[in-house]
Amino acid sequence: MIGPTLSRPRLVRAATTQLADALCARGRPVAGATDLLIHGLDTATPELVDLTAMSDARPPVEQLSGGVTRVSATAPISAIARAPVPIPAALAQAIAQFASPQIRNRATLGGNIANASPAADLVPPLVVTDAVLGLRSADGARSVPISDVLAGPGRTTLRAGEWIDYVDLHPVEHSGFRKLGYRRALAIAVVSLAWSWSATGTRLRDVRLAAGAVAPTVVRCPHAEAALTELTPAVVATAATAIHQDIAPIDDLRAHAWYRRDALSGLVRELAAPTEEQTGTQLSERNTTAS
Amino acid sequence: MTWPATRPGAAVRSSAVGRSLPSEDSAAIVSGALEYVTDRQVDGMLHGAVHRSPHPHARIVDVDTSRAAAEPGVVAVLTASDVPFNRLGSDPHNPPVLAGDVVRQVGEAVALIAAVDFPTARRAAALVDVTYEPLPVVTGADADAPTSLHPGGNVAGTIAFESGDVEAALADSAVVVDVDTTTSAQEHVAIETPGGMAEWDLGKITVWCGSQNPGLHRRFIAQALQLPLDDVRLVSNPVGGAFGSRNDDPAPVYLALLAWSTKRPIHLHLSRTETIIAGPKRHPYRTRVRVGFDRSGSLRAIDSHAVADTGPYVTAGRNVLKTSAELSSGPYATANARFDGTVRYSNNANAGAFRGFGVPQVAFGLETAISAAAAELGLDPVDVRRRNLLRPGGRHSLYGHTVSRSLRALETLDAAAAHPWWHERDAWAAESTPGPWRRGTGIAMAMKGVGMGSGKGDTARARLIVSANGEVNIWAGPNHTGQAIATAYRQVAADTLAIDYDRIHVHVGDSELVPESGATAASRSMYAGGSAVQLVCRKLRAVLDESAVVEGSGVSFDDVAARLVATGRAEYDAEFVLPDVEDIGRIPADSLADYAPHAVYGCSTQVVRLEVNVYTGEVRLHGVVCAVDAGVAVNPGTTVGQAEGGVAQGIGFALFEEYRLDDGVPVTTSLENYLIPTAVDVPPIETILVSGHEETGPFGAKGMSEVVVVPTAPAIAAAIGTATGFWPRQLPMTPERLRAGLAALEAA
Repeated sequence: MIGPTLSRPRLVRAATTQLADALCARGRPVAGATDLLIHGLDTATPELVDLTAMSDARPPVEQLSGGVTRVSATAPISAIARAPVPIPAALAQAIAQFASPQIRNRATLGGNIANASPAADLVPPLVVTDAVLGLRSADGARSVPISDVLAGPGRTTLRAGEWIDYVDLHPVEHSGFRKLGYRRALAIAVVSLAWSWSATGTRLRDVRLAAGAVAPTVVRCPHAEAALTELTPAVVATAATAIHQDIAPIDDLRAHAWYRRDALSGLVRELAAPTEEQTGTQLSERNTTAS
Repeated sequence: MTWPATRPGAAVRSSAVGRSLPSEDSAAIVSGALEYVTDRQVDGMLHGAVHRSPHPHARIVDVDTSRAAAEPGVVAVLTASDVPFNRLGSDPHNPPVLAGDVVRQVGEAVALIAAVDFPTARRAAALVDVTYEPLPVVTGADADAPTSLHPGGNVAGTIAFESGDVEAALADSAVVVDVDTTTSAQEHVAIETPGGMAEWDLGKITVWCGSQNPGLHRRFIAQALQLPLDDVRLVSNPVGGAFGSRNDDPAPVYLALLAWSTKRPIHLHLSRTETIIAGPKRHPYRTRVRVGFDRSGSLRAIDSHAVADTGPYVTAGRNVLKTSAELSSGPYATANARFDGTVRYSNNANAGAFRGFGVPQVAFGLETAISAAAAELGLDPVDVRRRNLLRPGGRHSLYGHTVSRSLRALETLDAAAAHPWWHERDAWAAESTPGPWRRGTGIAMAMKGVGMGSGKGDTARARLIVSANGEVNIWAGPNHTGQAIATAYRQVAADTLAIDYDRIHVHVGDSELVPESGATAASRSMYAGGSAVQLVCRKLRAVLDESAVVEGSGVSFDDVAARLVATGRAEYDAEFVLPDVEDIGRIPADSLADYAPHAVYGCSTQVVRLEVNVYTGEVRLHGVVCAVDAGVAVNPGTTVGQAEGGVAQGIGFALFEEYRLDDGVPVTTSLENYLIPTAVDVPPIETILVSGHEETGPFGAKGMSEVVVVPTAPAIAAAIGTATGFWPRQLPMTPERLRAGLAALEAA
């Protein structure tokens, strides 16, 4: 059967070189490749360069100075979740709600970013932690904020031959993530919401909200952020309405636009009453205690 | 597993029956070692692929196979004109093997390819040039279709029957509830997709392909190839699931056609997307149900009106509607019942047989109506049901025939209602935390006939041969399609013969060896197949009794076995014919087979507890109680397995599964966008096997594997209604549909 060749560079330097070479011939970087089976492979793709076999890759999570958490973009996300260095709650919860245990052992943060799905589970937590991506290419390294990388469905501003090495997350006091999918594993988000803020009593500061599957990319929600000054039901209800100004959902196979607006409002309303979803508890764990 | 070598027949009943003995294949299944029919391969075999229509309805103007045939490695390209008899069945409305003049659904097979490897076959299939002239598309079972798909219009069948005076009884009722429900086209999603192997050898064709009805597939193949029946052999094990999808699956015929045409071994294995697009579905229904009650909760009337969409051809549709009619009154007794049903053609997916066979659709309407009526009357939904249940030996509400004395509908209701999840439901709901999640508990019931029904001559057979070394081989049917039926047959044989379980070997699924035993369908395998096994074993047992083969007699089975072989008394055949109802009630005697009422029914009552997120419409299930009336469970472990699998499939039907088309073009074409429940979506299931005994079944057993799929959806709907005040009428109950309903309530 005709298919692309697969190369698995063992060193970071080799990955960069090989990717530059491969890209000249329309090759494609992969880091987990968990979406390849679903979307199929362009038969014209001559080469896949797998970025998950590098022996000198960085550890899954490192704590930098200034409270910045540096997360590997090529480590399996299950390794990020298990790392001894804590990560922001929003990202931990997004990983817990991502696909299935098997896929979490293959999928990577870099793959989820580069795949550029508006419904990507791991991207909203990056947006609310002001993540900065560390990119590498044969031309050198550069840093780019996450929001500047997302260009549209399946599109990023990554340059040819460039790959995502790490993601720096800025410290946040409180954060969380809630995904609404049509089943509790192996489902694409119908809408998702990540948040972060600092709190003094019931007053909120530095509120950041990011929503998935409601616009061509994961989006920040400035209108809702401005409205969300407090976690009281009345204020949260105002933010739940304001968020409609931040999004542009479409009708598709999974949901109508009205439902995406309505359900996202629901997720905002939930902020006033924390649920088990927000603490990352999965139904599988709940089931064992149901009686 | 060891038993004493010989035991007296009467004294040792139930040593094997009633035990959860593992299937002989279980270790190989769970370790992945089992070779399924699609794993089979031989050196030099060819590989098949199918060219399918992209149009829901079009005239075929021209088929040009020259480019496909010219592809290096292609051995054969077959079209309609290459099929000696191009129809799957004897009715002109049955599907063709390969479409000739017209295609009537997306995915309909137009050409078959055989090539040296699969990529070549698939590439060649794409190179078949078919010129289509699109025709108007019939997008549903509506009466105002733009065109007729068959001469005589788009009605494939109707059934209308009434007992008593329904209109008068409804006019008289204190409470009348009128519900209009729709249920979706559901996929079977058997884990193994259709396919297998076929070989042509010495003028005979052998096909290894999953089948729920090897005899029927054998007849399809013999007819299509115009071969004598004896020259066709179908080996239909081991297979990875069925649920109705392998009842009239054309894959065995494709395999036979390719092997016959090329005279070489051929392998074919359809992809999941092909299976979803071209394979059968559960019939989507629209069912309007009206029920009338008096103030005290006595059921005065049931009026059920159903329209089913069978897709482009007749396969199981008319029989599905027949079963809907019979079970439109559920397990309830009333003097006034009416059913009026129509099954119509469309250019949507072919709908066929599916576990439950027309019952889940009408039961959703009926149970929803009864739950709503209980709420309106201010009565407990269990009390309302209990008050109106059909009793053992009672008369069926619609047809008036007598039902068997083994009916345990009441016991399933009482068992489910005795579970803490039911009687502690109010306290559990009151524990709801502030926030969006609301708690609710629902209950629903179902009844389903066992076997093909009266007047059908429904027969299962078994053949037994004793070998000189004291082994007993039994060939029996219906076939195994995942439920370990051969193990249950073996248990029945061991207890009937009262000989060592290890000496008994049961074989199913090979049409060359197993006598014709009909379909693995209609919850009949244990009941009818098990009865045939029991009958054939009784014949041998009688001979053993003559020879005084009993424990302590000094005469061993080995001695007798050798003597039986030497004297030509080692082979036995038996058949079991499904008993007709004792009294046919209001059914005209000459129409018995048209209505095919059952004497024997299985029942199930289920309780569901769940939470609904009123902000988003999400549902999370906390548990399902499944009380089942299976008579005596020959193998309780596999019976519970069937119950749990049925509930899981019922959850899919209730909350997730919907095959969707857009103007006849499928849009849910993979398991990425056609969602079925995963392990974490299925809550704990507590199955209760209610004590019972069906006197005409083997050791008291009767069928149960369909009825368990039925109550789940209406129980979930009732729980949602209790939790939120919104009572769903449309399946699946997706978050979006629930939010739409809740938003309408909020606005009102």
